[in-house]
Amino acid sequence: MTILIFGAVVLGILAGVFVVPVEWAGQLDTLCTWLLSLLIFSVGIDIGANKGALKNMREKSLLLSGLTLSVIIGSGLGAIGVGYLLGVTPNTSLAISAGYGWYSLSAIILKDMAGADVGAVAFLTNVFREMLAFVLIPLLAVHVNQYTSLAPPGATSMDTTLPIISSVASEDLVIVAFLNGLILSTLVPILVPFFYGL
Amino acid sequence: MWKIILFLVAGIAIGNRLNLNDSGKAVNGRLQQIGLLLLLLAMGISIGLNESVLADISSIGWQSIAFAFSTTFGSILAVWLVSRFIYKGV
Repeated sequence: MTILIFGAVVLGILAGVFVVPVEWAGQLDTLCTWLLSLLIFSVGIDIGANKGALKNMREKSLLLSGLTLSVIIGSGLGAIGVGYLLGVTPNTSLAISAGYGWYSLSAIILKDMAGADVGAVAFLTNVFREMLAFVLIPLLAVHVNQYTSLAPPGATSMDTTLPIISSVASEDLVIVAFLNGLILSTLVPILVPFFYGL
Repeated sequence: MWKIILFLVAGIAIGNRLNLNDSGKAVNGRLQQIGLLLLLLAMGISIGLNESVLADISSIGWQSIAFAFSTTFGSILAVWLVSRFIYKGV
């Protein structure tokens, strides 16, 4: 599945650059939205068919808080470390990390607050984070453990990467992943300006 | 965001009522994989069509790749530590 996922993304990018006319961009975005909605619906059917999925919410809330906090702390420390090497200030690095893969929103906020350059870095960083997540989720689920496979996607685990998580992780963890994405998505517009203002 | 939540909740409600047998679940899983690959292909095309992404990659691409890897691997390390030492065996 990892190779198919990687292949689909790369093939798509190449087709976008060399084959597909630019006029299709609007229809493509509509297509993406509908495909994603149908996929999420199908993931919902998976969860609903699993009678145990919505039980043990207390245990799941522990898993959820551990995951979300670890993603926030791990992303932040990683960004500060690389920012130090690149000569980027810690507050800017933290703000870039707080996109958690949601590239459109974090880029817009930082473009307003920090200028076009930082906005563009935030945009691309979070585009790349989502692409890395596509590839790393199945690899981590197989070679490390399913819980760790929920670390790369960040905010995207409530939408674009949820179908991948659903194909490699247990239904119990799919719920945890969705809620993790929902919380991180809610935090993006709060944490990006907060970190930048530090 | 609301659309996603709506579709998920509708799916859960219907999945709960349907009482799918194993072959029904397998068909659903198969459709999910096919849909997923189509979505990734379409998203890839969108990225490839977006000229500003491509223009940005040449100027600030390496910096962004460094940030993407460091945030992703920082998260992986932190979650792995939690799975190894706090919630053993998840």
